[in-house]
Amino acid sequence: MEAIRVEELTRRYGGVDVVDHVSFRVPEGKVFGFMGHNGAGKTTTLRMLLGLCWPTSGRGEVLGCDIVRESLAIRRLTGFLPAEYSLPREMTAVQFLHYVAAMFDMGSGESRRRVAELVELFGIGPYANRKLASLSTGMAQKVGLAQAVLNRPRLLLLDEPTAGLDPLGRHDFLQYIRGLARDEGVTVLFSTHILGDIESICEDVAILHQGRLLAAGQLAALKAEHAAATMDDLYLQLVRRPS
Amino acid sequence: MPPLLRAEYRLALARGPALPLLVALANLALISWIIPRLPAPVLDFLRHAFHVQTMADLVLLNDYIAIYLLLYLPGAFALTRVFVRPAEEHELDLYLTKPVTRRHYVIARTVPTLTLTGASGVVLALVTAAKVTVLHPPADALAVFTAVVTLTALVLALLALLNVVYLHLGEVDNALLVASALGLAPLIPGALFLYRPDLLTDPLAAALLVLPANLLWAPAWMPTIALASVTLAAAAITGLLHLAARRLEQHPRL
Amino acid sequence: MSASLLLAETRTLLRARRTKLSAGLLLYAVIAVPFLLARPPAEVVSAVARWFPSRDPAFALFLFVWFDLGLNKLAALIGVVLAGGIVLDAEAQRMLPIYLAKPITRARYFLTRLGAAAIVFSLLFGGAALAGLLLFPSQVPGFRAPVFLAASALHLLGALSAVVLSGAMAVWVRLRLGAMLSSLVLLFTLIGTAFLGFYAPAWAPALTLNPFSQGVSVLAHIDTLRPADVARPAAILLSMHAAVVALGALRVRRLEV
Repeated sequence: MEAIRVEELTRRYGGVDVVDHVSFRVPEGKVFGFMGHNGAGKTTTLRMLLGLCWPTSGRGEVLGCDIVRESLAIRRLTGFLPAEYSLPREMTAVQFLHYVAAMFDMGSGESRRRVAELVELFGIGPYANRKLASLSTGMAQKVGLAQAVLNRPRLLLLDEPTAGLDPLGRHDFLQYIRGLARDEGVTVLFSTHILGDIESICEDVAILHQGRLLAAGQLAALKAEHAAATMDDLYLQLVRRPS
Repeated sequence: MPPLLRAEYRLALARGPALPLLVALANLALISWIIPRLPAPVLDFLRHAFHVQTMADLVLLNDYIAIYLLLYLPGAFALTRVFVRPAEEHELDLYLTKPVTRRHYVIARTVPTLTLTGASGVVLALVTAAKVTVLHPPADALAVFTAVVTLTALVLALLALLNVVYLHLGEVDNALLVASALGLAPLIPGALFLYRPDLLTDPLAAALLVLPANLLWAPAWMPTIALASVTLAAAAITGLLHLAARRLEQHPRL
Repeated sequence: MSASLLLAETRTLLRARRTKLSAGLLLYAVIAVPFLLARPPAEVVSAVARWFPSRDPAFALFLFVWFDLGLNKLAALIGVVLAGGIVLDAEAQRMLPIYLAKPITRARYFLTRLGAAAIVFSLLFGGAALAGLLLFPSQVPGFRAPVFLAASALHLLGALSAVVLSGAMAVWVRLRLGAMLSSLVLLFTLIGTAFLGFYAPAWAPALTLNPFSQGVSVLAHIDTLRPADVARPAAILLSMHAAVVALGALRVRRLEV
């Protein structure tokens, strides 16, 4: 069963194809690495999957739902942590999580229970009632992740989630993501340009460069196919290969 | 001109300062169309209430309010670029970690807004003077021109004051509410003069406070008043700019 | 529109500092207007008696000043700060991708934000009217609570156009400060012409689409107020608001982040 399937997905901005006829499939229950330089088209692809912007051509399905016609259903089943975001300064973490719960039409009892679980799970407790403006980057990222998993998503889309984290925060984060896939069967689309992150938690990858898909498949198989010892080698070989 | 200030001027010009000016000009045209068509009792009431005589005065009374608001509001919105918006959108660190002193930063971001507001004021002064001379004679063109210059000087001083107030506000919405309240404050004595003249019986106090009717009460003195206003405003702006720079240098959150 | 989200949004807005500042400004108006009208000059009273016929010219003058000088100006300011940046504020603060990745359509998000702004605006202006109801009878000669309440209710409906227009302007202009400034200038123009129909009755038909004119139309019937005098302008105002809100929702549907 596939969590994501896209075919010939294209998005054009001002005459430039920032996503150019991209096709790939993401198996369910895995952490799938979505790799590429900044500007490779990863963020635009993720946004199209969620209906935040629309494809110029091509088609896609997320959890069996069409990305153009059924984006609301998709968003009910998924969680998203954008690459660049900030949290509402005037709210506390708890207020913010309750606000997000309201977006899922959660009743107040259910919302209270889920928010309490997340506060416990992410160790937000000591900061739960402080204004979000005063939180450190690492703590804000925990709140960001908490909002992304608030609805117990079947699919989690993470866009450059470890970019601002310190080594310890990054380690904990990756552990959590690995646990989600392993223990709860959540599919994770992990978009990053940090090759070490991909190598440490992903079995399957897609590699994007200048809007085009260079390769997709099992990481081990791709490495073997290109005789690459490491993820770095594989990536460099692919992006330097004449198109 | 320092490169940063030049860059800020370019940005300020790119934001389209002509648009608020065009809106102000449209308002001047609308006022000249509406006021002479009001029924005589309404005009008599306004003459009596604000101690003015001619049709030109009645038109100018409304022109001055429109000019005042349409110079002040775009300036107040533009000045949020100095501190409030960069703070809200987390950009301030980006600018302040560059090799530019906070003093230069404040000056570079503030001066273009003040200059463009001043230039718009001069254009409106010329247009208003020409308008009343042509459409509502007899009118003293020099008095009208210098009255709008005086109004412009007041707006610039208020904007410089607002710039200091903005340093204590971290959100655009709050800042705009405070800015609007500050901008409306100078018009309150005018309301007092209309409804509670017993509180403004001192002619000097009335002449100083009852904006904008006071700009119509002594046309022969307007050039002198304008000169004094511009001088005072220039001193106030300089002082307030320094104060804003110092406040930013000592800002507790930066 | 889900009730829980509307409630959460309303709570957030009620906690915001701009709401507290707005409440402060309205409180100032409640206190200042009776003070301003403690000793009105005879020519002001007689002029107002001509425009707003009533057996109690002092009460008519009070209603005129309360709505014109007090509430209308504040409605423009408060409407713009509550609704003039909706959606765009979340975009500027980079929160929009988080919100729009939730199962909520863009139109519903817009309507929820606008609805919360309208509720908070109504609470603020309703609160000011209730505070006035306590304070004004002892300070305004000839004060009539039923007329004041009817006039306040209709005025609130008219003043809500400050919220509705600002919200729609935000999503049409798509530049936060530009939208707020445009809204403020438009609202001040509408407010500046709101009473023209009273001064020059021949112009009244031209002001049918001015929501602030509709909002103060009760002043023409102070002594003879009938339900229809409130219901008719209320129906016009509701239709106008619905049309403007629909235009905003239509625009926001194509928003990409």
